[in-house]
Amino acid sequence: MAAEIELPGLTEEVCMNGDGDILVVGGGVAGLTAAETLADFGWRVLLLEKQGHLGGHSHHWACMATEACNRCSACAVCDRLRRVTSDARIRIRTQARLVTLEGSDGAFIAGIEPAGNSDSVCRSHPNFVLTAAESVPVAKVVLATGFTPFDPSELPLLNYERFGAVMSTVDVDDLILQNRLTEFITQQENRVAFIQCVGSRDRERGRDYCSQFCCKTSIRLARKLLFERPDLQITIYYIDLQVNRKEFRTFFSEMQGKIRFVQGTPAEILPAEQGPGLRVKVFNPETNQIGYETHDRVVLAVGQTPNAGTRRLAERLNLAVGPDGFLALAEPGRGARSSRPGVYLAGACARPSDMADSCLQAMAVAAEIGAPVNVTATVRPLLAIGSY
Amino acid sequence: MANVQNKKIVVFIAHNQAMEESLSANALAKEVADRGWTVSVAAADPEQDALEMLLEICRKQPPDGVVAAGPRSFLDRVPPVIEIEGYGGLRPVPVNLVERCAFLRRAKDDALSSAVRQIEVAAARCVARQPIEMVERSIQRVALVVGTGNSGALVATHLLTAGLKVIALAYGEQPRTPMPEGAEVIATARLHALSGFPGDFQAFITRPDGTLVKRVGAVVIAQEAQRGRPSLSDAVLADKRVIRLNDLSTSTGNQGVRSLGILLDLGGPESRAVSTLVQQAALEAAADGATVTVFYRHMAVHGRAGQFEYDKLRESGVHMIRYDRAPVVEPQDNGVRVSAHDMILGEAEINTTVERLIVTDPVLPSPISSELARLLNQPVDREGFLQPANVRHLPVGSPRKGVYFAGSGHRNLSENEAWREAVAVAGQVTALLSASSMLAPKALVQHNREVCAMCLTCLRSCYHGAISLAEDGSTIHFEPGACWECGLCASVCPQRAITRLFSPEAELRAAVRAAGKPMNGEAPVVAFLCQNSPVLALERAGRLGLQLSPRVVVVEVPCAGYISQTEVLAALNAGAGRVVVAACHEDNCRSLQGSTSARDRSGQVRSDLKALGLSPGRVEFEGLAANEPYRLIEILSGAAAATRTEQEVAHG
Repeated sequence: MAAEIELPGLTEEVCMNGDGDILVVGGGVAGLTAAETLADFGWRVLLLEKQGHLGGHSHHWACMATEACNRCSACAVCDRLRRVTSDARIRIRTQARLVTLEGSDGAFIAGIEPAGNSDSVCRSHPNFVLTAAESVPVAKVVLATGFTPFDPSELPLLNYERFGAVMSTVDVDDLILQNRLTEFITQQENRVAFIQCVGSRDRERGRDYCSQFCCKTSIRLARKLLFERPDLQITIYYIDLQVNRKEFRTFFSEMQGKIRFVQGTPAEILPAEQGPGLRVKVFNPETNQIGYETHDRVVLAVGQTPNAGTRRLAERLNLAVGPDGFLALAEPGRGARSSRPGVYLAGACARPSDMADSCLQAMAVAAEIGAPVNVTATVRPLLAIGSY
Repeated sequence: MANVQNKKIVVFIAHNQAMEESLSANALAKEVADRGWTVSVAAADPEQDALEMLLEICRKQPPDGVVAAGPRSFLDRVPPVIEIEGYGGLRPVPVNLVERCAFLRRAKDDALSSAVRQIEVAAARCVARQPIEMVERSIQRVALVVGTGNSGALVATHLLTAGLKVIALAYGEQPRTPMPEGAEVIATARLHALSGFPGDFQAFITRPDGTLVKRVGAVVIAQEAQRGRPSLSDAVLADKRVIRLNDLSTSTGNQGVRSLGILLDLGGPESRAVSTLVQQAALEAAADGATVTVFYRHMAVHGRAGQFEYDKLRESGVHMIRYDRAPVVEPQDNGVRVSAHDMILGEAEINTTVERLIVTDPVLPSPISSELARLLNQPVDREGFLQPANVRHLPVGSPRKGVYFAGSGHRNLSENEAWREAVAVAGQVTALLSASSMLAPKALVQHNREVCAMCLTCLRSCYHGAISLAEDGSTIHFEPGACWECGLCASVCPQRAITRLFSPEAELRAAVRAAGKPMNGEAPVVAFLCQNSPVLALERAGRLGLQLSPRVVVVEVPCAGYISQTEVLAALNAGAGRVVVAACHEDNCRSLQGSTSARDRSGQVRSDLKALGLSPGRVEFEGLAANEPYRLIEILSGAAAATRTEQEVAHG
């Protein structure tokens, strides 16, 4: 049936089916933004999320505000989430995954089934959960399946699993989110180090890319820590600081006097020779010698890696994968098309991306897909949500 | 049907299994019916049926107010205005019962009394509400692109592809870059004012021969940044062998140059766009057989493509010197000498003499940007670039619905990012203008011209562009289609000349009176929560199963800008032990100033209380994000515990 359909218009049959004309896979920042924008265009959207809750990684991100907001954007996902769940044009299915994609551009049949992880059912939206396998006709597919934070235990010299005082940025974020910062660092401890590019810019391990978000994450985190504990001495070990994005140059220069920035990332973390703490091996440009620095806590700024299931997903959906394991774009850097016509990629499933970039990519995907052909002119619903 | 103050209030309770775990919908319905309100109960699975039922009830016999209570999945689908033919729009008051009850799972009685109190607060609001008249307004499928640089041309191209009409404003006599065919270019023109609402703006454009008024649906401010001066001496910059990157001819490049130096990061870290250009120039020169040396501090790679470019550069045999302090540049007879300390080699100074030295220009906001920011009443960011750095509106939006930003004049962009941004902006505009008309309230505020002193405080406080000055300057005009209902205009007006119609003062006062009443002899904590962050945090706390004291009564507001001294004092007067005002963090307020306004007003009440010999601690202000559920609960529980202690002390 698929071959008979002309592109890119929709057939009567697809349009008549109320079950979402565009399939968006992934409920993180990219998926939510794509779904919202596509719905604004007049599409009906089916949004799939593997987990029991929407929001993706933002679920574990803490607010980085100090005296004022520091623009970490984590809360922006909560905002989007509310808009998506209140949009009648978007049907949401959680604990659901895409397993097959038959047909072609304009007339796909997507096979979706329960993802089988019942660990985190969303209490307020229990009826979003997909309970049985379905075949859904859709015109286009947007994949926004995201990334997996790099697991630092892949680098045994960093001793992430061995020393409790070695944590990842993800771990520290989680503690701040839960208001448990005191568990991260006690009153007696005050030396904290961040090591950048853990799992990024690492050609040996096939991760020859900058993950785009970690410099900003660490500098914001450092500022947040200093706000809570002004006595902390914070060092950030870096390769090249990525001072991009709005106002970040100002933010960075404000922090230059307060945080010690040291070029060169230590490759090994050792216990202190005596007493508590951890030693890292660094080159000291002031003394022109290689030496050791002692810190009480070392935070590893972990990069983005492709999800473990990316290759399997690509095989099932007949998509190409790039050399670094992310889904391959037909035209890297520009369009959002994948190697299969009608399937688009948004966010970190195609390349390491920060929040701003993921949002932009998702908006661009929606724009590339454009408005549905058969949509009739409508009255736009009231935009304001201030309804109390 | 029983009446409350001669008003018929319908309480609609939708429930699902999650709610039934802590609170029986039928028990609640009984309590509510005892208070004289009409009550209906429906199962919220599937939620669509419940919504249909609610709408049916409203249409059959229009009530004066609707309290929609139930789980968030149901409330999310309740429209902000329920339209009833020949009657106007009804604004339901949503009450999220599931999250509230999830807090109180361990004590069913508390769950019930707390839910009843929340419904009382909502019903009190309903009594004070008026139906809102809605009008259909047309949408112009035309976009105005201000700026004809690289991003302006890209945005225009994508807008035309999407089938919209495009008007492009060039400030100079010619567009900076050729605009796509089909775009109407107005040259030697400046945007002078913008009024109207998203979908139908009036853009006032000044030209040497007079003013033009264009009706446009959306506006894209596509300005490019301008070049600054590198931080090198005049003598160095005057040397012909020192070339500024932007002056490098793309056609001849560095042809014939045998040794080339490139000096980066003099004025702070370079942008990705600059590092791309530099890497291209270095690669080309190296391919031509030149010796190339790059002096840098940080290499902007930022992402995958950047790393790829950087790798190529390193593999091409280009010398890379990472300096730790600014190198010294001295023009000599045989070339330009650059003396730098390499960070890795330490003290050894490296002296390199090159035939040509390329330096980069700092990127600065253009004066046109600040003029545009002023006339659109949009603050610039801390670096002076367009678009306030507020995550509610980033990456391309603005507090003014229908006004978008593109180009290096609002943020640093690599070439690919500029392309993506243009597509994204065009998409946002297309989505906004995809409908043929929009429904908007006829009026959202009442302006008392007799009292108004024309001080324009309201106009300056409205970053949504909903308030404009009449052309002859005689009065101000309120545009409901552009309003976000932050309420700031009414609360900042020194003359009290602005009355909100959408959530009148009387409504908030009634809600506060209902909220502050003692509960079972105990003084409650009245928590004013802004809808945009603290309410979301409360919902999340509910999902996490955190415990909250039943003493806390929530009064939701669309923006903390609603809160003035009156509301805080009214809550204390009604019997509240403590008042917590929770707003978004500073710089995170959707309306930009609502949060700081609430902070200042709460502070005012605190100092007033102190002056009266009362405890200033009874009023608390907190900045809070949607992802701080644990902190919110800590704050509210802390306030409840403190109230309890105070009450016990007071009663001996």
